[in-house]
Amino acid sequence: MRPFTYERVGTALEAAEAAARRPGATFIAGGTNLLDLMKLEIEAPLHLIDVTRTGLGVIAETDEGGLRIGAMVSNTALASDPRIKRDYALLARAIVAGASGQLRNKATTAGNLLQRTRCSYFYDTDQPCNKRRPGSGCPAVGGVSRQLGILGVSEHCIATYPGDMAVALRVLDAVVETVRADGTLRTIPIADFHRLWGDTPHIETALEPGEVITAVVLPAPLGGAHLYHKVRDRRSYAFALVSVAAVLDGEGCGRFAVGGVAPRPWRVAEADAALPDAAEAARLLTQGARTTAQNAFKVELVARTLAGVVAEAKGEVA
Amino acid sequence: MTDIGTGTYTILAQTAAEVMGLPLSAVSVTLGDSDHPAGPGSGGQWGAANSTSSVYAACVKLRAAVAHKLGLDPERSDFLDGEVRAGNRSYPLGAAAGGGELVVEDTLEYGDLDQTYQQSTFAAHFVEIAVDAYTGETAVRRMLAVCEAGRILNPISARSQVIGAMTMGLGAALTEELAVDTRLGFFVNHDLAGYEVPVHADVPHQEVIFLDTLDPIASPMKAKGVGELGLCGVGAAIANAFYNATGVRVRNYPITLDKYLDKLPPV
Amino acid sequence: MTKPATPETDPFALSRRGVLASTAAGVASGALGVGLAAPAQAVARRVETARVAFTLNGEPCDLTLDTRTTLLDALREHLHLTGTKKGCDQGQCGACTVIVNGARINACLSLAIMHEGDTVTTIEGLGTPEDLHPMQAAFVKHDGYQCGYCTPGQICSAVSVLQEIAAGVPSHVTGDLTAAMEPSNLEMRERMSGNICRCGAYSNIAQAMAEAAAGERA
Repeated sequence: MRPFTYERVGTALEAAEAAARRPGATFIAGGTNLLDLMKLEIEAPLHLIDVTRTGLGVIAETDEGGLRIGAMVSNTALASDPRIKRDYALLARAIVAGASGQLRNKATTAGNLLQRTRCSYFYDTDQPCNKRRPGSGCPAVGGVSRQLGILGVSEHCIATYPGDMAVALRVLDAVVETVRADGTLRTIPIADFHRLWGDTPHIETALEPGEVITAVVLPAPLGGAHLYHKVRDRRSYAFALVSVAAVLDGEGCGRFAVGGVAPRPWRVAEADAALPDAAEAARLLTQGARTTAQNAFKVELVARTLAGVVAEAKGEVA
Repeated sequence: MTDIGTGTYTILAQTAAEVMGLPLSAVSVTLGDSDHPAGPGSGGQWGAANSTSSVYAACVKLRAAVAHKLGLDPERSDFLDGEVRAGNRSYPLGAAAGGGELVVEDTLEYGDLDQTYQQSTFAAHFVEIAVDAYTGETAVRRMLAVCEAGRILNPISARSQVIGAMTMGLGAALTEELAVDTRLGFFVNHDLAGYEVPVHADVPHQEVIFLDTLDPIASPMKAKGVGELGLCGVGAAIANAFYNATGVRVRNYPITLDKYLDKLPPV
Repeated sequence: MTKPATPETDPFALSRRGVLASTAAGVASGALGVGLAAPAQAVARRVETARVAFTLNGEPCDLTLDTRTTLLDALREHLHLTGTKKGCDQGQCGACTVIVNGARINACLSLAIMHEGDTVTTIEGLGTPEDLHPMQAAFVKHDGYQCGYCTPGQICSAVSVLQEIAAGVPSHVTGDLTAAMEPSNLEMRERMSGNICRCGAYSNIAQAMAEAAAGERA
């Protein structure tokens, strides 16, 4: 790990101001996907700004009947909140499908949105990677790509966003709230938060340098059946091959998004509209998929997983 | 000889304690020192049977040395409760050393035994698995191993070895694969996030039955090893159970869903 | 608690620090953007230290550490509590699990200096050989290990898992999220999945936890 200076700030605005003052600064909260990358020197910040004590660890009800989740609410606290368990079960289910109990105790709502891809080529500094060293090439294309992306990818990068929580947030139409160093506030729909790779895979989110996430806002509850099905190689503590998050009625109609396949949780309006025809909905969602020989199975896996989720909503399977 | 967690210290102490008529707490075992006589090493089902047999051989020699020091006939001496007894005479075991040390060493060799007898251990492995008809996910529900390995020297640590091996067999069958990018000579999944060994959730229920026979040929302790016994067979049992569940034969491990998804019945 | 060597008190570290400091001019103006690293850049940086105080196993503890020191390394290398183990050092195995403010975390993925004012419990703080924690006693009884390397992390995790179930923290296998949760075999196995045991002692650990859970409720 490269040496760095450290400061602890008391508010989100102070964090943004500190970042503006200190080039090469990075925010740290749970640190569960920053410290591992710093040890590998994939991340090498000059200055760490500790945002864990910024008072953003609370969940509050909004005037619109939704919830405002503070950026520093831990994954465990969020999944355990009685309002989340009752009204946004999809979010609780997605969170507990990810990582381990230890990591969820530490990981935060904002940090979870910012976790970086788990592509093995990205994770090894001896390999070229357009995300780590722009222009160096992408060996994952044509390499070991079984885990990697099939939608929204490019010839420059086929990495996926690896998280679970954001897939549920995409279905719930959550909004990310931020503050910048000049004090201006901004809201970013979750749909626009993660960028597609294009030819700049090193730019991963819509956040500007130094912009601080303060909260994630959930609209009023949707009702319906909240289902999250994560398919992985082992039964727990593994990243998704494919995951399907859905809020459906008893007929199997509603909305869904898919994780593990793209730079962002993947949701397509036409696919939602095709429900309850799972095969057609999956076809529309995976239209234009750009697969490798190793990850082409994900197209079929999306269709089958969605079929199972729809059948569950209709009460056809347990 | 070492103890890599298999319980070598315990079974060696047990053996010496029983032969010398001492409580377990009176025996100290030291391992992993190059000053010690060469041992079989821990691996390949060699460790337990050979090292306990060697301790047994050395203890028989030690009993003879003790009896000789005490002026007793070793054939007519009993070693019980920390004492040596012959007829109506009895001495504390330690008296033989006379305040010093009594050291013996013995060697055990098997000659052509492996040419004249098959030395195998035997087991039957049973697994119940579930395959999700939609997603194709495979989950093991129950595992059972029925094992014959001669005398079971310590039923607790032997069972722990076997359930551990069954867990490793599960990983080999369903998740563990070293991925190499041969273009770059790059070991792709070189960490515990990429190379998926089984976790608690993969192993919902395990049972082990030892037949606990005596094998009078295999070793003086009438015991054989259990290490690989819990492992070999698990992969085949899982692959066969998968075939029973789906009608699909997967011929190369690990059995991951990308290898069979397109062969499952449509949903 | 003993005060171990730090870059402030260790003469070797001090001299090295001096050398680095003399070559560190202009470091702060490096071109690294937020979240965008350039590891290939050979930037000489000064080793930074910071002070942190927390409660460890009931005792106050005050350290001055290289800012890079993880909680795991602080425990093992500076405080010489070697019960907590370093497995992968990447949050992929759980061997380093400790309990901070009542919640289990991976000590390898936590900077020590971020634990100002926290309460940290390690395996040494749960029990002693003479006075075992009920979970430790249950692990011994049920042979919940072979080589033992993952065991301190397993035990810290197991203690926390029972507390999390009692507190209504859901898991991936929880049926009704809003109902009271039970320490069932499946619940415990799912929740323990962040602690890898390559010796495969999972079934024995599950038995140990079941006994400890029954004892807690008795």
